[in-house]
Amino acid sequence: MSVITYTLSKCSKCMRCVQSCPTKAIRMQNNRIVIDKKNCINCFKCINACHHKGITAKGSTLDDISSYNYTVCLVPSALSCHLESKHKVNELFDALRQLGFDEIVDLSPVEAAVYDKAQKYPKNEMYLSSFCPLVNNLVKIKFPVLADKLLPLNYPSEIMAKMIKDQHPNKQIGVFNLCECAAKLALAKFPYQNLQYEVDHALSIVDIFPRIKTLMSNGNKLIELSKEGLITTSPLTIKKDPKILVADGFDSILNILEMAEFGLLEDFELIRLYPCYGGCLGGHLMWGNAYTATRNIDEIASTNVIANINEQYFIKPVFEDIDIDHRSIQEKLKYFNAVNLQLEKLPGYDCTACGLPTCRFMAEEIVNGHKTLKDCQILKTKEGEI
Amino acid sequence: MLNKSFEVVNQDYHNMGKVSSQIKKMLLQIGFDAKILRRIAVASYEAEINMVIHAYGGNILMNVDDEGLITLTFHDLGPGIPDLEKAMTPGWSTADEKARNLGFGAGMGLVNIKRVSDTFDIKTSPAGTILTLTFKGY
Repeated sequence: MSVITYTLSKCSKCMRCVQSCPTKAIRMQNNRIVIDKKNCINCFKCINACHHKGITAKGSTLDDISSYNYTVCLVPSALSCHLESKHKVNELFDALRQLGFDEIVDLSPVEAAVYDKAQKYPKNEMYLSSFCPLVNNLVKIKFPVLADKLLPLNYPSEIMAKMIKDQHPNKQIGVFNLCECAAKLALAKFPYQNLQYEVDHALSIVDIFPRIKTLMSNGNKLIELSKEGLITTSPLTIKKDPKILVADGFDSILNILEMAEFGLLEDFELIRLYPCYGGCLGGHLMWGNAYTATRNIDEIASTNVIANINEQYFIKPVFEDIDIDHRSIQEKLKYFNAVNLQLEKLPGYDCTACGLPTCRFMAEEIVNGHKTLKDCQILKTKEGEI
Repeated sequence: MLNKSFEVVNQDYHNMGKVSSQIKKMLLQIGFDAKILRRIAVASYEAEINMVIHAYGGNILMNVDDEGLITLTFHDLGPGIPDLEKAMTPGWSTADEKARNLGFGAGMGLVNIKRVSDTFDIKTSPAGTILTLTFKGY
């Protein structure tokens, strides 16, 4: 479910992106970067690693508004928190209206409700909160042991989109979500053809912000943001609770997930992980800084409303995309041993010069018959020296 | 058939859990089910830290047979468990202050290990303890 695209026609082949990928989803093939759509978790590491700005994550464009009779734009708390005053929030909502949306919906009461639900979810063991698509995918790929520990609660944007559509069954509604990070761009029908979602289009905040900025000049209608929702977007502002573990930053969450796998966090009821520093406020598609944004919350919040949501909307639909490995244990062991045998012949530097992320991938390719030891650049050089 | 041996160093708090991490990663690479991996992760971590804290280190052997049976053998260098019955009682602990300060030594180690493993066998003498656990992977 990758939203990351490679745009360079000429690549310097520095392999920084290949090396940066935590799920080893990038490889170099025929002088181009190939991203494994299934294993990519949209963490943005490769985008930051590329010195040539050759990797991007784009959302839908505003032109898509014209494809619908009635359009709704969802504004996440993480975006509102980057505005310094109530007045600025009103201006933002007005600017979005000027862009052509018929209705602008603040997500903060829904975000509050979903977090409230997560806290009250009946638990007799540890659970992981499930509102970050990056965490959900990371768990599925790198920590499958914990997959059944993810709360079965839906994303706030999905809940809101479904509620809006159910309210107007006869209207042809287009729901657009403003996304603060690449991972959330995948939670929409377009532009990445993930047709199972309720949100129709994912927009990248950083891409449309320049247009919004020029339109932000007036706004008379008071937008009442819920503080209960705004505070859930960052580990810096979320309410402290001894039963809830909150962590942010990619390396920290890897550490926490490993601890959870070893059963060391059973004292906690809920583990809430934010891969971005400062939480969703620090999303990579946001223009500002998470730490400065947190001080805006008291300024912009006017209520403590928690949306009253019908039970059915909380349930996250299950999309089966798990590949079942049908090989017998004998076949699996035989393959594993064969790969290890090749791995011992390789230098083990994980230098990526061959285009593959690690020597283990190379060993697998050799066993699969797609490559030979001669494709290893290090072995080739050593042979030349001799 | 697969055999692997890992070394565990006495009082090496810095690398505590690394062997369990390797074991877990290896079993995942082979393609074992997540459910069994969780039990193995919990047991091997607990047993590994026992070796570091109480038992002067030693080594861990992993065997996977062609039927998918996973056997973990934790062979430590002593001093043995004087009263095995006590050690199997929830809450009983001999961990020193250093270990307790780090959050280890709650006295649930062996109890938890036994709970998650399919078979549990322990032989102890002053020369060392051999803990053998098996897990039915298939």
